[in-house]
Amino acid sequence: MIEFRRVHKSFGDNEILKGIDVEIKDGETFAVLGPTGIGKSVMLKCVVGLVRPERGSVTVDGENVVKVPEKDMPRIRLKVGMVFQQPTLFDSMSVKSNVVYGLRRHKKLSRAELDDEVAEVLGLVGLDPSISEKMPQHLSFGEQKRVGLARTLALRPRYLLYDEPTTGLDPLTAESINELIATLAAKLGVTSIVVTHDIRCVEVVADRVGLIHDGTLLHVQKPDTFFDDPSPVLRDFLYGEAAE
Amino acid sequence: MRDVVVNILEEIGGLFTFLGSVIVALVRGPFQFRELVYQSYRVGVQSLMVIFLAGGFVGAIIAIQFSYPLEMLGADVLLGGVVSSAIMREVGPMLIAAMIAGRIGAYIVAELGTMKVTEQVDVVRCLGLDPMTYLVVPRFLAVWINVFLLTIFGVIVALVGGLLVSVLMLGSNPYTYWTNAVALIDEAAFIYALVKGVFFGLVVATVSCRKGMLTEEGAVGVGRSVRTSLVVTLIALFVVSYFLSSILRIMEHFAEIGRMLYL
Repeated sequence: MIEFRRVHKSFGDNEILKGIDVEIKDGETFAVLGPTGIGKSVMLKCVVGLVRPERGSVTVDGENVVKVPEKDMPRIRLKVGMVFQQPTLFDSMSVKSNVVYGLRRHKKLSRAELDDEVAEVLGLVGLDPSISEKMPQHLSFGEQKRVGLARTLALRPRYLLYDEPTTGLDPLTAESINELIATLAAKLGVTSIVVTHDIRCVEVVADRVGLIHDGTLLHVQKPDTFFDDPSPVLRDFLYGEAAE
Repeated sequence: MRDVVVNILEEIGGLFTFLGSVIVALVRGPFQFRELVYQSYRVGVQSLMVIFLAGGFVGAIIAIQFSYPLEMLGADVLLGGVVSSAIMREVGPMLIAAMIAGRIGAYIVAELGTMKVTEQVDVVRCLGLDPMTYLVVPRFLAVWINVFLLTIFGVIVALVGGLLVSVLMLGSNPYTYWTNAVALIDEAAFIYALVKGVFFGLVVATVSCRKGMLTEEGAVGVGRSVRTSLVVTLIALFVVSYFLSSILRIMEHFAEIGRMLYL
């Protein structure tokens, strides 16, 4: 379980998070909706210690990661995989080397075992293992995003954090990524947090959803009731800003 | 003025702190030997031709510059010794290190800086790995070792360049040039070149890796880091060279006194 309690974070004079409170249950896919630049990614980065909140706690399996020193963070990060907004592949390495980058440094595996792992995780994200020798620049943006996800999955995390998974993708590819997130959650039983401004993504993947507004998380509920919520803030985002 | 002094002190403090964290990461390990070999190929082997050309012309320029005043003084037989000594003790290592700072230093800053602003450094952390161990230490060691080796290579090429220009263009007698060079190049000249190679490598490695890892704000930030890295490296090279020359000169002086007393 991942739990945010009164999480505050500022950058200079700009207070981005003003008391985030939410609990993400095991096996659940939780979506955080909100416009760009509102602090959604900051919230995710607090879970893996890339950003340290000034106040409040973020607990993963009961352990407050805010208090875990940087040298001990790898223990948390092996449990919590993060998929970044951009594919962030190492462009001097092949797909295979990217996928096993973390794995080969944490586990002593033979070449054959590594090949099997690559084939398995590429299969999980819907890619043909034959692309494993290709360089990232020879893949489409959607394929690069899938390879980034495969690299995270190779470490078999219990939790998956997705930062704007459908940003920059055409509607068809975005839909396939949404379906992939939902499939992985069902198949692997991982707990996921998806931050997005894509309403379709919420509809496809989320068990629950909340809206970030003015540094706090509002209207946390199931998607079917969320989209019918009469709150002016929510309706303004869903049918005002989001439609722009 | 106060701000300038504070900035300089912050920069010096930052460099030593960064150097300390590199040493900690190196000691803690695990050591990335394959990455070190790969980075050594990129920063070292691929720089050989550039250093060959730069070193050759450094020697040629020094020979031309010294030939006229020595000829005026009627001391042109000393050309080989003066040129070789100047190349080994000061000008060679300094100019070649500056050349390397421009090529290798900028490459390292741009690479690490781009990895930082495109969140690849964060990816490494999210994979449960320490970026200092996996990204910085192999590059740091590759730069340090290769700047040292390239400085030595460059000095040798500069010596040959000085010899060729002196003999082929300035009409020096090769035997006189060589005899005089051997007479004036003592073990101290070798120590100057070696010690400066070690410290110049340390300067280029520390400044470039640190500036790369401190990069922020996208492509503009990468450009800014490359520019400031080059400025800081060149200033640091001059300062380090001055102190090394002073210290080595004092040690050389004491060694001479000791030798005289022994005799």
